[in-house]
Amino acid sequence: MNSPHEAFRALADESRDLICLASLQGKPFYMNRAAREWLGLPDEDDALPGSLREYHDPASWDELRDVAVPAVKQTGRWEGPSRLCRLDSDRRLSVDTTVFLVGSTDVEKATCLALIHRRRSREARLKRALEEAQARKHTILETSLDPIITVNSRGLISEFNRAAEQVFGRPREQVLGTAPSEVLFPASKIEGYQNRIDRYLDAGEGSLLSKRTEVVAVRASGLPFEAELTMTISQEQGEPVLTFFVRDISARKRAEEEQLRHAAELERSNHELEQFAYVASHDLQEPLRKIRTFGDRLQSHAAEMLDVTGNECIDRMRNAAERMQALINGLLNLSRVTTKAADFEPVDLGRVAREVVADLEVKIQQTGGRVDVDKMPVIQADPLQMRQLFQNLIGNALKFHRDGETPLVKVSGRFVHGRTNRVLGESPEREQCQILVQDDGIGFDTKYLDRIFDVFQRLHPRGEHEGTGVGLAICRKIVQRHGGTITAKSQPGEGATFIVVLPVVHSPNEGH
Amino acid sequence: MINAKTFSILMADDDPEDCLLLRDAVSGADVPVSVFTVSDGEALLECLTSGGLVSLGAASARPDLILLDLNMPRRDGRETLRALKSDRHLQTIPVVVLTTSTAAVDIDYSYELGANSYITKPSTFQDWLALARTVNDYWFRLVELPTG
Repeated sequence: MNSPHEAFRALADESRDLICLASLQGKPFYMNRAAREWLGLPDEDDALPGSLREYHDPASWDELRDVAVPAVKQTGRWEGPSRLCRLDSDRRLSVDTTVFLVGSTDVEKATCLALIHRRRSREARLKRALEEAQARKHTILETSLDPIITVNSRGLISEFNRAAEQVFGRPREQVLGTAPSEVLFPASKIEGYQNRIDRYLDAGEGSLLSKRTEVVAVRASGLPFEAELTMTISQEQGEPVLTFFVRDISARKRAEEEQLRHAAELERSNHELEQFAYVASHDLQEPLRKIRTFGDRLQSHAAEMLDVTGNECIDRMRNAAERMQALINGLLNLSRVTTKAADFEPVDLGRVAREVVADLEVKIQQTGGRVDVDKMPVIQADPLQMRQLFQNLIGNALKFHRDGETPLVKVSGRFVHGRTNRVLGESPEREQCQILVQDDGIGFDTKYLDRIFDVFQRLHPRGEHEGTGVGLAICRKIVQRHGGTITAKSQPGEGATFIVVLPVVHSPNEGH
Repeated sequence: MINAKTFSILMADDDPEDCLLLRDAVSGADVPVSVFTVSDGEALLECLTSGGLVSLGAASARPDLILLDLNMPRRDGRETLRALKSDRHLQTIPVVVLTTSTAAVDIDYSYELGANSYITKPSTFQDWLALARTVNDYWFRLVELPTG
């Protein structure tokens, strides 16, 4: 213990600093107890790391290499922060490091390198954490897409981030130290806003804190705009400060107004169209009724006086009138989808489909066909309109059967998951119901797909299949009113499948 | 049938063809009914409050039945019906609404105002004939009409 070597070793082992001696090439040959303990090394000299690099955080090492090594070569000494890492885990230690050459400040004459890694004190750690927090806050403030404005206890703006500069159109220097009401709000509102701000700063509380409110703000150009405002109050160096989070919602407001205007316009034009269809249908019926009745009269009075051609003319006239009557009735039914709309309620689609099949019994027997109804879901819908939907789709499936063959119709339904629209904050996942009405009939070329749902569109001459061309138009209108879609898959001669997708539930204001 | 009473129907309708069809149907159905027509509600009330059917050539002033259209110029069927049913002298005359409207609001409102029945206008002459016969059978053979 009398050798100075042993004494220095004992002295170094008592230090809380991590001490390391290394060759000029950076290979450690001595580490004190604190260093070995923190690095997790056994208490032996030959278990040291192969190089200094091994116990440094890679980023920190790069910095040492670029900064510390040149400094040591030049002056024989370097001091600065660095980060160590344990050899057996990811644990890191921030230290203040001193590196110096032993024996001489000249690297050519020095014998070895000494490193002293001093653990930071609690105060230093806190100071550094605070600096980091402040840097983080600054980054958040500056990268925020929304204006963030802080008002100090004297009611003056103390922070004005980049987004605020952009939205309000004012540079920070111009705004800092002024009262927010002077520059950010329209003259008419200044007093109210300023009173409120003063009150919050005085009392440290207020009804609008942490609540979203809509306010009118003003840009540097003098142009007012609508904004959403949230306020929080906090303490900074013992004084209350108010932070405003502002969101420019003028674009959203404009879009909302536009949307409302469109909706109102659509409502009005829909209403007009319904009125038109209804009135037209009623008023058109009147002369038509006369044509039919007087045609009857003519035929019963003058049948004997007319020749074959004359009688044929009357027949054609009466047929045409009847067809016109059917078209008008169709139009009337189409307009009733909206004029006679009922509220949505739970509807058992399977039950509705089976009732429709029972109603179509005669038609089914005539064709010798069969309609199979699978298990179907219960959804919110207008019950009468669901009935009409199935009536038209199943009726069509029976009607367009192949010559001499008995139609087989399959009706099925299942739940499917709709698109999600979380971004807009709407219902999370709208469940939908898919209804299939499949037949093995004559089918159609899908190039006509966009036409078959239009009113009065027919793909077949009147002589072949009766009908007015309103059925599928009614189906589409019903489906649209329920917020769903209708389409079909088919090939000529291969049967057709009509696919209806309807929402399972509706928000309370839908369906009126 | 020679001594059989002839019943009178007063029809208020602005459509001359419907008036003609009712006349033709009544004669075609061979029922003991005389048809008198006026072209709107105003004319109907005028006729009934000033001498009645006599001015139109009938034997008695009071019609046995009124056939009333709803949509007419000047005074429409609804107003006419209200006026008829609130008149002490006229309220007992049965009123049958005969219109093209199938709207529930028209049907219900007519009954609310005191209509005795509601019929939609026929689309074929066969149906006009049936209407003439049915009106006769029900109102003039089955039903006991008010005595005056």
